[in-house]
Amino acid sequence: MGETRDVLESEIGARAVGTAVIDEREVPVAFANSEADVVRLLTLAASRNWRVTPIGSGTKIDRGVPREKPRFAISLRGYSGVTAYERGDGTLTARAGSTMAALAQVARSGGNHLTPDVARAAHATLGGTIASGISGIDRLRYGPLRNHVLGLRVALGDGSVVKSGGKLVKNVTGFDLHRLYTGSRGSLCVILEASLRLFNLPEREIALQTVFFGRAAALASARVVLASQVKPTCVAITGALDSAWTLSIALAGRADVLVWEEGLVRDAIGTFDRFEGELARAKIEELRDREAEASVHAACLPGGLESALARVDEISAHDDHAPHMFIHPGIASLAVEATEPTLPAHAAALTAARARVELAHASVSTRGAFDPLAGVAPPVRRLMTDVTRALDPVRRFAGPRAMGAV
Amino acid sequence: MEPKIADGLRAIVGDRGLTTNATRRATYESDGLAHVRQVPDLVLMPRDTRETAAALRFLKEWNVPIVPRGAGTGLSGGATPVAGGVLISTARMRDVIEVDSVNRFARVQAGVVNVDLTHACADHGLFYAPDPSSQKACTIGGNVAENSGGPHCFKYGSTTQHVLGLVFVTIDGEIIDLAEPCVDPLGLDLVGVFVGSEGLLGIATEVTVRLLPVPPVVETLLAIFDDLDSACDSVTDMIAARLEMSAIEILDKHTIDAIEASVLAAGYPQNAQAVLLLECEGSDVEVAAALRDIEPILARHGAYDIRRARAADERARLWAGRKGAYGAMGRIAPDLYVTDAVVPRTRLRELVRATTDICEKRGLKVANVFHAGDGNLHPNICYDRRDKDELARVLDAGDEIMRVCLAAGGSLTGEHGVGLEKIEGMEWLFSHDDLAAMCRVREAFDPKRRMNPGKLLPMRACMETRSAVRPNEPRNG
Repeated sequence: MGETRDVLESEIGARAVGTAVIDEREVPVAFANSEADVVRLLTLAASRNWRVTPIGSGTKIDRGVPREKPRFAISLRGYSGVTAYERGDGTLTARAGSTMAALAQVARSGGNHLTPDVARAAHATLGGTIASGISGIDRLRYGPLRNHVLGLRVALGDGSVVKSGGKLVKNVTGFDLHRLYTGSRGSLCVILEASLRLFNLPEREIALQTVFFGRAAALASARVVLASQVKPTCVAITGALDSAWTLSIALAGRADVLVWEEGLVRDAIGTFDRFEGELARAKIEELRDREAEASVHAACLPGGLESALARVDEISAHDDHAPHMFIHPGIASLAVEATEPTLPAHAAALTAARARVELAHASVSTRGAFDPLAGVAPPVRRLMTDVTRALDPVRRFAGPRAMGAV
Repeated sequence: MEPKIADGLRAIVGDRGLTTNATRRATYESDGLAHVRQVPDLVLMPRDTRETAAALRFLKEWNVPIVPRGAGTGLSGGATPVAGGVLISTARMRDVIEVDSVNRFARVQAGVVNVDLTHACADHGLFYAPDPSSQKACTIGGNVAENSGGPHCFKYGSTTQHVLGLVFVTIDGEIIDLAEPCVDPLGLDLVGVFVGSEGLLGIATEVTVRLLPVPPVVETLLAIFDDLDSACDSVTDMIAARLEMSAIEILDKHTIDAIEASVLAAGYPQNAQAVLLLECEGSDVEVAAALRDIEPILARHGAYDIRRARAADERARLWAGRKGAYGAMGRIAPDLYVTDAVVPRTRLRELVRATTDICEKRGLKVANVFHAGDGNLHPNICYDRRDKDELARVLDAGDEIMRVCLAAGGSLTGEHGVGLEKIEGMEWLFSHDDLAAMCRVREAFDPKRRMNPGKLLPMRACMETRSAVRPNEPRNG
């Protein structure tokens, strides 16, 4: 570590080198403030045959499969700012280190909404968010993150800077390599700059909450809302087995339409607590941020949700502990605040229920013991490895094993 | 081509699955980019993934070029076998395998025609959103290869946003089964990079697509203008006002005249210089609210009449006219060069005018019908390919249109793909390193670059082993 630090400090200066804990290991971090810095650091890594990993602010660093050990990390946190905001065209291009909160504010100032609405937005960087591939709490309305990434500029392991896609809302020119980079968790490239599609800034936001005794009743009511003509931003139920469950519904849009939608929700579920504006925002952010701290995240098909929940219940019964859960029936995802000893059982059970599972905030040994690609057919896995090798032939990037980097 | 190749393939797909007859093969000499033609050496029509894989495993030892083809409705030459070889058609893969109304997806064979999929799920109250103008003929597999769009992609996004899974066969005959529907991939997004790869990475044999609920209310408007500029400006303003519509299309005077003179006459006013075809979908409250915002903008830009389709049959007629516009233009000239470029929506008027000027300066007749809401221009140049001089002027105009759109911050193609037509333009838009990254990914799928050679990636970037034909150097044309 000391030698690495010395080399980095002589390359970019002592003030630009720090330390981060990545997968329970202290790793030197070089803070890049420009594209040239990133290229210089990659060139340095190549000259010494060191493996590196890109990071943002580290808000999702302990989520998913642990990374292979890097010699140092390149943080893009200092490489921020909006490079193009086309209000009239509804697109925004920004450097990777920009925080999601800052970008959302820029978009809001021009009458646009930025998605995804991710946890710890004041710290989460654009590059880290895209590299993680995690969508926001507003996914029900706006769809997954990968649909809104219009183009990316990235640095590959050999130091070349390449782009894919563009800045336009419609564009099919060339391979969509940005789809590969999105969610690749630093295993293919360092994301430098991204262009995103924006949406309409809603005139009003409201959050509606009501409590049910029992998950089944809350889930049934959520499904009635989802089957109606209401187009919520989020519908979630939260609680623990055999306790009270809260149904939260976020609505956003034109004021006149919201009045009508609120009436439909009332018809569907009866009375509720109502929050508007900043209070509504606070309620949804509270839900969003707490859910992000859960240790098990899973997604399945809507028809498979009951089966997935039944598996979690079996573990709870066996363990005599009912963890707090977050269930989004509209997008068939769930998060569980499971205890560390039960994580392997949760991962196995949910995988058996054909859910896609990711573990978070758990020890490296626990996260490392779970292979989310275990059920993936060998030819698919092999192709992922071939694609990784094609873009990073010398394995400059220390990515997670699940990206086919074995 | 070596007779043993035909014999080996016949053993896999049977007599009906192989075309060796020269006359029948000639029908596969081009797609909608009609001025570049090359007859394939063999045409193979496997019935499913297994046969496709077996055929590709067999062909591996013969080292011949492979060209995938759906219905051949593409407009960029993507299915033209410029390097000869074996053309693999999905024409016999027409099964809708599964419609899952609970989980809102369908699994289909690649040769299913786009509109047939929507028909297949209509009883469930669901539909498939991407709706290219050729949807009555084009296939889902072809849509995947080109990442196709259509008028309603303004709201719903292009094909890539609707593909939840795929089964494809690699050049070596390996089956990559990613059919299980998923929005977030496990590991790298191989489906995401395959969609829009124009047949260079493999042959899709099955596709899992997202289905959407049919909206309860649909309103179709026809706004009538006495100049094209104003129609463009109204769209720019509607985008800036972030109005939520599902389609915004512009048709100019030449297009209107061609449609109204055809069997597809839709009732577009022939005294108009341009019309805007708009659609709003959703609940009645949402649609009413959107219409309240739209109409003042149209009026402010001089729309002198705004008509609402009164019934479903009128709406269908308006859309049939729009989607049949390319066919109707056959009345103007025997051939049509459909250009496809995307520009920032803030600069619609300027660039539509520029593209029109480029054509008129060369004495060419251009008809504009395009996805204005997405900034996706289609200046359609009417010509006769037998006139070599005119063909040269058409290609020259196409080049300049691309350059002008790129200079304005646009892109080469919004939905037709690069194919043969725009392969040189790739070097205008992308650096050597950008293209090299694409080539490296291609080689991970197809190390010898035998799959659809001569398309999308310029030869210099990918070191093609077989020469490709430039669009303005037709081999047989």
